[in-house]
Amino acid sequence: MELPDPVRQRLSNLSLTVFGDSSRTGPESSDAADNEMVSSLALQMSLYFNSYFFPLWWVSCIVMLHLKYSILPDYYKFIVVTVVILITLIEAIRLYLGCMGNLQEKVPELAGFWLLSLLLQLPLILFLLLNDGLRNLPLEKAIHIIFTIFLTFQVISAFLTLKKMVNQLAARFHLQDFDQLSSSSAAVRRVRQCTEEL
Amino acid sequence: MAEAVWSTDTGEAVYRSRDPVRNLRLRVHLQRITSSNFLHYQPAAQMGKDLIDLATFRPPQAASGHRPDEEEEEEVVIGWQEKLFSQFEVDLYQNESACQSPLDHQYRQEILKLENSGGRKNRRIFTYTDSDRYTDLEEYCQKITTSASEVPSFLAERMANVRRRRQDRRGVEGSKLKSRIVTWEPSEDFIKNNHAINTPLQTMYIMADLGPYGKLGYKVHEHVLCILKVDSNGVITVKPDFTGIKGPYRIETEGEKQEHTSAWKYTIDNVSSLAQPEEEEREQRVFKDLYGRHKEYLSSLVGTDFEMIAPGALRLFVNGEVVSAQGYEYDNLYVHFFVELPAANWSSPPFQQLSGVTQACATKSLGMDKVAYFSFPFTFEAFFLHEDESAESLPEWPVLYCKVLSLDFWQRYRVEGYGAVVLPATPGSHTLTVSTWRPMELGLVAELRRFFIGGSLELEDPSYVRIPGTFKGERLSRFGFRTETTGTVTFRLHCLQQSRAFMESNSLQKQMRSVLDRLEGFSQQSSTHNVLEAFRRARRRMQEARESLPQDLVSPTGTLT
Repeated sequence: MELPDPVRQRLSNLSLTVFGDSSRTGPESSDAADNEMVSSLALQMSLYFNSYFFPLWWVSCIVMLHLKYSILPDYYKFIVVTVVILITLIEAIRLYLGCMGNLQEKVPELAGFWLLSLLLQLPLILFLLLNDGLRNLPLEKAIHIIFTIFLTFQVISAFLTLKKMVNQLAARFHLQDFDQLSSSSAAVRRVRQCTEEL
Repeated sequence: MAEAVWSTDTGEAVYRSRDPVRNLRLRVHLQRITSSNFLHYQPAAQMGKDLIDLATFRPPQAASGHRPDEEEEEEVVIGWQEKLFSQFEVDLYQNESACQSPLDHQYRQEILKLENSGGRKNRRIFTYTDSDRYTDLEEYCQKITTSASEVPSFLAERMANVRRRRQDRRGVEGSKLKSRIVTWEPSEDFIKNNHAINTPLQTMYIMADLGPYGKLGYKVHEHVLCILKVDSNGVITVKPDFTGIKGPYRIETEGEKQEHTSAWKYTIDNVSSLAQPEEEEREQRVFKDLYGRHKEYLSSLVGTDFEMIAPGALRLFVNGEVVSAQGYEYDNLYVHFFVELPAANWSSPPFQQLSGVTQACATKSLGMDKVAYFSFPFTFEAFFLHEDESAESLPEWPVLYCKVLSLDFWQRYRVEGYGAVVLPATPGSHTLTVSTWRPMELGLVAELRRFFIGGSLELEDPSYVRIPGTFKGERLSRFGFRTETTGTVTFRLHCLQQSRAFMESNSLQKQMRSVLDRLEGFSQQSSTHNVLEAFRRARRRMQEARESLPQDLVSPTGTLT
């Protein structure tokens, strides 16, 4: 599964704007080598354990919802069901994009993962956790707290990883520019020699 | 009164022919024996009443004079698998409801066409070809002896089926569907029953309808005159044999009344046309050209000249195979491998590559280990040129390095192991097992990184497995380098070596020695080469000296002699 091209371009532009250092005028000597892997171990571990935690979360949430469904008001019934369905779908897409972006060092996928985590999953899970009208049971509070911790950690580590990844790609691009400059300067020198011979 | 000697030998004869069997022609001559009437009336003639008895003979002959002569005698020339219909078949196939198979419909068409064009040309003699139903039934219901109450035994049934014909035709005849072409789990009885020689035969029966006049077309009056069997090797079996100069065969039939008992005699002659001498010569020439062209084709494939190499050089040709890898941690393994030639005296052709990568292979459990079978072939060629004559330095041999990696769904690849092995110095087939190791780093973070992300420590220079190329000095220290033992990789190498020193050794009737001794043969050959060069140079100098002598010195010598 690949992201559509317009979505990839927009995510690339967003990543360059948000995560790139516009204050830098040229490539500076960074600590990381050019071919060093910038995948984040912490983020990958978090995604790995989140993949195992999410089925448990889902089963617990459904069981608790079934138990307290009769005592909820009617509008809260509809809202909670919608929120659970949305969280399920977004979580599947999010985990896939996160693994692909982090392991294969693809910036658009990782940016999509970050946006889904920050703008969609985190508000939804906070709504489930902090709304008093939902009458959360103790198990629900526990699993929601763990899920929130996962999401918060992933948002922070994905931000840092994206920052490092974008900077490394920019440095690589600049180095390619210098390679082209050196080759073009060699061509210019060759043209000057021909002119002198003429 | 005995007008002919009957041929009582009805055994079969076997012939062999290279000619196509469609050139076979038989002439069958069938005739009723009329002298039996005289034999029947002979006792009456011996009573002594000559005039009265002769007078009484004439009215019976006159009474039977209404039989036409054409019913008493018939002669037909039959080709191979030529279908001649009998009266029974003509009566049978005119009824459309009797047609069951496509062959029956074809026969019906032919019979209707024959009836429209004036009837059959044969009366009593007809044939059953290989496609007919009668041919199958006759062979499967054979009796070994002439006893009327014989029941075929199990052995007789098996032997009758040993040289059976093609089964697909019988299947089509019986309209049975062949649902099982391959028997996946044959039983013992199935193996015993079907383990038989199956030379396909084509069979043809020449039959005769010996019914009384006006009553042709009944099955009970059919008799077999001749059975012909031909297989694909050109073996022709005729039962009974051609009569030739022998007497005719005899058949006696029993009728309902005494007066209907009759005897028949028939002869079988081979009237196949012989090939013309010109055709025979042309055929032999065609065969000779064919075999000659085939021989030339094979010669062109092999080539005429044997490839020689420069003196003092050794050619190493290796056909190798990455057989398998076992004992590794992750799945989907693949192997990077390359051959390193020592820089001193080795070289290889520029067009070939000395490295390769196998396909990714999933492992299977075999006992305690997990084994990945690659079966990846590779081949390369290298030359060793021994220039300096120093016997102290033993020649270094090429080294085969390998690196095992794994690849998974998320494009994570991990280094599973490094290994190296020196190519064998002796020619022949060798199976080498390379033990591998991988570099590791102390601490938990490295292992976590290897598991979750996949990147692991790699060697910058793969030749560090043995002696790195940039090493200069006497002692190589690996202090501080940590490794972990992993699995093994199996290679199979077929090595060929070619050198002129081998030919010299063989010509001197020496025993086969190891390659190190053969390399010493290089120096011997070089010495011989140098001696020959020195001899040529000395001979040239002597000739020049002789030419530069003044003429007067040569003339007095001639005068003195």
